[in-house]
Order: sequence, then structure tokens, then C-alpha cells
Amino acid sequence: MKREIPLMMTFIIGVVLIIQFFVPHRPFGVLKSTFANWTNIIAVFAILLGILSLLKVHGEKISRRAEGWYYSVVLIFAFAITAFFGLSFGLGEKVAGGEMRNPFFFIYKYGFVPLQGTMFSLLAFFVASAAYRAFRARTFEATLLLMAAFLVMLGRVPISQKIWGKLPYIAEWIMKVPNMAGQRAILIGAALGMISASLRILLGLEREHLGRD
Amino acid sequence: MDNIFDITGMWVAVFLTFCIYSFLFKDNPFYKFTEHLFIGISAGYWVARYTQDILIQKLFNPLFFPGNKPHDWWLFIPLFLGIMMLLKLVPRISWASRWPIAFVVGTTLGITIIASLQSDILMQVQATIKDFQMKPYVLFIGADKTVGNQNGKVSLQELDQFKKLLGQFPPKDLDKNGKIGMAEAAKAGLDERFFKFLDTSPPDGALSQAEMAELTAARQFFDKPDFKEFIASADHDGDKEISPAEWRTGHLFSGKWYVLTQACFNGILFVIGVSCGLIYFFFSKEHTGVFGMASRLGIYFLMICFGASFGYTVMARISLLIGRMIDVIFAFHWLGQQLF
Amino acid sequence: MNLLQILQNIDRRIIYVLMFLSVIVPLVKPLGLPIQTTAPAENFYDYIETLKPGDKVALSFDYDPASRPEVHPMALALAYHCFRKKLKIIAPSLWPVGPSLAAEIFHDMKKEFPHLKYGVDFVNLGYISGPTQGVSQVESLCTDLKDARPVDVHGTPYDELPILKGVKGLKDIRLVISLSAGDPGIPGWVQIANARYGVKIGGGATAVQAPQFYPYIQSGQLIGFLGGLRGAAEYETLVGRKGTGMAGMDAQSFAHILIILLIVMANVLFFLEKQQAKWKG
Repeated sequence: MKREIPLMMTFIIGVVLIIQFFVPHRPFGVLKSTFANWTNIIAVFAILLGILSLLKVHGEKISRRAEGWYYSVVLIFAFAITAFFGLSFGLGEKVAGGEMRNPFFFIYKYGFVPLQGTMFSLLAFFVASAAYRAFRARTFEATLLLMAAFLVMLGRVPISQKIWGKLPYIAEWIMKVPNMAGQRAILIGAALGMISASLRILLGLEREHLGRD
Repeated sequence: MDNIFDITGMWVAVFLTFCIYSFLFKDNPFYKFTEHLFIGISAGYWVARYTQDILIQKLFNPLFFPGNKPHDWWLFIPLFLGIMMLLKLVPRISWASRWPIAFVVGTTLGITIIASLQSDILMQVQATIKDFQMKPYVLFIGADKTVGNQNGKVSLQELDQFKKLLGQFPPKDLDKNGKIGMAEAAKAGLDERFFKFLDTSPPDGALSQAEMAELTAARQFFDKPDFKEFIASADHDGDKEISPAEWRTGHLFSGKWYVLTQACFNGILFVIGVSCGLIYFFFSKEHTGVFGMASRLGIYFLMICFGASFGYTVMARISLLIGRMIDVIFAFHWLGQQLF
Repeated sequence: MNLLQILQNIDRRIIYVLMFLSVIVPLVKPLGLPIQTTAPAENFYDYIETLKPGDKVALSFDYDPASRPEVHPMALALAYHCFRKKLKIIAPSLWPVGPSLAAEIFHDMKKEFPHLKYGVDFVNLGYISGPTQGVSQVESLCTDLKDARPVDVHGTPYDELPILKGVKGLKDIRLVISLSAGDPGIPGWVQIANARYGVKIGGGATAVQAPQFYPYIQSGQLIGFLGGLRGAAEYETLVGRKGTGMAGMDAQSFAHILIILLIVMANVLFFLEKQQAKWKG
């Protein structure tokens, strides 16, 4: 019964919500908004689960004095301070007379925002290095890919008008016609695949999401 | 930026930025410290955010502290399921987490199946063949700057023709939902191609108030008594034609420019590209003969698509770097102003 | 080692330095290259121009600080345009960080439009939670805004906010603008708000996502679209407000040229190496 009840639950809830699309009246309409609300709440517990796992891993690292354990101290300390300020002082979006004074908002604005932005901006350097080392036009398809990339990269920046006035139009045409056709094929194909996979999960043919016994 | 908190914060951000960029030279303790700091702050942020926004507002308050409203005792179910989710951390009873997972999966699938079918399949197929029509050449002031006489401009004569296509809009015969059907639009003189062009959100054979808004505004503009003089004054170079730049700088009607005629070539390419792309993804049949040729053509379209995506991805990554550099430059600019 | 091998095995840190210079030099010494606007941005601008003072617009903050350099400038330009036209802005967020970003936007806009009053001219609704690619979140926002978000981000009840008077759901308003960095975001708004309720949707997204939204532009499901920093720069040009979008375009130009030159150089060296191998063999 450890697997059967969850499979039954998935099936019943999924079918009810599909019926709701065609019969939006009671009780289906009410059930839909209720289930969606409950899903939001359960999803938060899933996130808390992830965070607890993270703390458990780093806590074990500290207790074992594994290599680099002091960095785990930094992590847990940063977590504790941020969570404490957020839960005690609120999230600090208040705009009163144009000021925002709140320790949590300070950590967000001068810690979280620049750190997240900088981490992702490292990718610009890696893209440049990877472009030099790996992008070779070995086949006709690869050449087509690179040519499209060149034209789009050039056409989307202001300097292209100085090189050739028609470049922006060519880039825009590539985006609007062949790119759009390809994206639409991917979109339709992915949607068809998603629907068939969803039906398999609803009918209990796919059980991977429940894990192993 | 005068207060001490913002100034301190700015320099903390700059320091952390350089610590992360030091990784480009070599992995080092500054980078490792900042990386772990980032993970810790992120985890703390999400805990605070989700607890305040969801657990307190959507669970605990309605359940235990509803104020004037009755207690929503049904919320014990998601609370119970949420606690079962946390039991995944206890290996002996981790099977209990399957119930909440099953609930979330069922809800997600039930909602997205139909939404995805409607928006990502039906409407996309419809849009693919929308342009595959042989339309006669008529005045159009294209959204992509193509115009009736193919040189990117519009003459007064063409504007008159455009005005006729608007008919006597808006008509008085609206249905009880405030919409106008095709028959009423035709009675008011609205060209059928115009009607079909506007009826997109959703394409239900009737124009809603929002869909009509642009036409109403356009009609009011073209009905001005001094309309012709107004247009002539915008013709700065005196060539009896209005270019897009003249239209904009003349502060003429800034409603939507309508494309009534689309290049048939693009329409054909859409259909071929989408069909061949979908054929490529069909693996139940061997890709040989005509099917194989179509599949190959599909690959070419997909390669162009991936190339365009790659170009945009490069643009995105560089934009992130530019964003950070702007903040760093601002900090040093401020320092320069204080020192000199 | 011959020249070919030296160039092929160039230290990656030299490439990093070149990338850094290609970005920092144009930022410090801008060229001021003109920005040509494209149809998706112009359509967006033109649609907002047709709205009347007092009309309500939803500006949905569906991004996070990682995408801030690209999406925040477009948020500023769009908010500026809306407030200049005396429109009212309702700001829901499908991402948890959205309310903080919305607060920053309104904080900056109050400096340019000091007469703006919270609760009357704009409201920060806060985070509307949910999985399922935003579908359930958007559904609840479209049909029953009060149920989706009974209080705003400050805890003020729905009924005490004058801007929300007469708004039962977002399907009652003129335009929803989604500033999106992933899921939930534009797909959810298009799939539910537009497909089911006929709400007009405008979108702004990161450049990574931009190509995948062109089908929605062509089908009319998006009335306008801004893609990446370029989209932000185009909109800033259209509204006549200088911002980080325009400031970054010179740097973007040179960085792109550097990447193209690196790829061309690498392929030339690759072909030369092949030729060399042919001659030797």
C-alpha cells in the first residue's frame, strides 16, 4: 500500500482537475483552487526539506572536522543571521517616505543581489573561453548554427548599423522566421511529450517520482 | 548617497564582487568564503521569504488566527502532508513523503495538461497557418516598417485608403458582452481582413473592447477635421510621403500600425519549418526517403534556431557582466567624487 | 611549439582579460552608438500609448536578482512610461524575490514622480505562491485577486486599497506586463490569462529566454516584447529616458565583436591545423 495509495491519489486529483477545466462549477471549481493552495503550502515544506538537508550535510562536515569545515561555519552562520533577521524584522519592502531600513533588506540589497548577479556574470567569461576552445564548424549543420549566431549577435547590437545597415533587419528576420519556426516545432513537440508523460504518470505507468522501495 | 548604511553596503558589495571574480585567476580562500556566504544567505532568504509569505499568511493565520473569519480546519491536511514531506529525512519512514509528492504531482499535472494543450499546441498550430494565405496587396503600415509602396513610407493616398478600411468604427451594435461580431463589423464597413487581424486575444470571432480600443483611437485620429493639414505638416522633407521617423516625430497617432498583407514567402517558410521540425522529432519511423529529407530540412531549421538561441545566450551572459560592472564603476566614481 | 600551437593553447586568463576590457572600456568611455528600435518593442510602446490616464496595468515581477541587470532596466522604463501616462500599476509577483524588486522600482519612481501615492497610484501586492509553471497562480490572479492575495506586501487588507476598487481579477484590467526570468512567468500568463480570459499580455524577458517567445509574438498572444538588455535599451530610447540599458549597449557591442573574433580565429586555426596535417600526411 506504500505505493498504491500515492498512485491512486495522483490519479484522482489529476482527473478531478482535468474535469474542472470543462465543468468549472461546484464542486470542481472549488476543489481546484483548494488543491492549488494546498500544493503551494506543501511545496514550501519541500523547500524547507532541501534547506534542512543542506544544513545537515554542512553540520556533519563541521562535526567531523572535514577539509574546509570552516567554510561550512560561514554558511551556517550566514543562514542563521539572514533567517533570524527575516523572521524577526520582516522582509523590509516598506516604502515610507522613500526609505527602506531593515537589516534583512540590507542583507538582501548588498549581499544577496550582488552575490547572485556576480555568480551568474562569471558565465560571460566562461562563454568567451568556451567559444574560443570548442566552437568549431566541423559540419554543415555546425556552420549553419555558427552563422546564425554571428548574424544574431551582430545584428542585435548598435555597432552593426555602422558595419552594414541591413544587419539589424537580417537578425530580426532570422528571429521572426526560421528561429520562430524551429522554436514552435520544439514548443509543440515538448508540449506533446509533456502531455503523454503526464498521462503516463496519471495512469500509474510511470512511478519514478515516488522513488524506490 | 549620503547615509552610512548605503555607503557601507555599496563597498561590501564591491568587495564580495571582487572576491568572486578572483576565481577567474585561480580558486582561492576568498572565493570559497564568498561562495559559502552566498549559499548561506540564499538559504536564509528563502526560509524567511517562504515562512512569512506562505506558512504564516496561508497556513497558520487562517488555521489558528483567522481573526473575524471562521477557522479553516481543512488546512490541517496540507499541514499534515507537509510534515510527512519532512519525514524524508528519517530513512525508516521516508516512504511517508510519497503522499505529499503524489498530491503535488497530481495537482500540477491536472492543471498543466489542458493549459499546455490549449496554448502550446492548438494556438501554435493555428498561428502557424495564419500567415499561409494569399492576400491581395493592400495598403499596410507594417509593424515591421513595410508599407504600401515598399520603400518604407506611406503617401496621403494610401492613408486615405487606410481610413476607408477602418469603416465607421466603432459601431453601435455591441452584443451583451460588449463585443462586436463579424456581421456587425461588416455592417460598419470594417474590412474582413482587418477584423481577422485584430481578433487574436482570443480568436473567438468577436472583437472585445480591448481589441477594439486601438481602432477606436485610430478612427478618432483620422476623423479630425484638420487631419490632412496635420499630416502635411509632418512631411518635413516635402516628398509627399510620411516615413516612420516623420510619423513619430510629428507626434501623429501612435496607435498600432497594422499589417494587413504579409509576405507569403514568410508564411510558407513557417509551415515548412514547423512541419519539418516536428518530423525530425518523430522517432517512430525511420528517417529515410522523403521523410528523411524532410527530417534533414527540419534539422537545418533547428540549427538556425539553436544558433539564434546561442547568440541570445551570449548576449544575456554579457549583460549580467555589464550590470555588475556598472555597479562597481558607480562605487569608484562615488569614491573619486569624495576624494577629489 | 609553433605559432599555431601557441595560439590554439592560449591561456584562458588572457581571454578573460580581453573580455573584461571589452566591457569596462566602453562603460567608462561610452561611444553613444544610436539604438534602432524593433517591432516588438515599438508595438509594446504603441499599445501603452493607447491607454488612458487612470487605466490600470499589472506589472508582474517574475524575476530574481540573477536576472536583474537585464530585466530591471526594462522594469524601470516600463514603470516610467506608465506613470508618465498617469496609469495605475498593480504589482503582483510570481517569484518570491519579486516584491523586493518591485519595492526598488517604486522607490526609484517616487523620486521622479513625487506625487505618486501608495495604494492609490500603485500597489505592491506581494508574492503569489504556487508551483505548476505559474498556471495556478495566474488562474487565481485572473479570477479572484482578493482570494489570491488578501493583503498587500505590507499587510494592508485588499478592501483598504483604493487602487483595487472595482478590480475583481486581473482579467478586468487593460494590460498585464510580465517581467520574466523563467518559470513561472510569461508562459503561465499566456497560457491562462491570454488563452482563457483574453487578457492582453506584454512581456519582458532575459535574452536567454527571448527566442522561445517569438512564437507567442507572431501568434498575437503577446502584444509586445522586450528581450534582454537590448530590449531595455530600445524601450528607454522610445520613452526618452536614459538608463542602464542604453549605457550598456556600447559594451555589449564590443563584447559581441570579441566573441565573434575569437570564434573566427579559432576556426581559422582549426582549418590551418587540418591543412598542415594534410601536407604532412
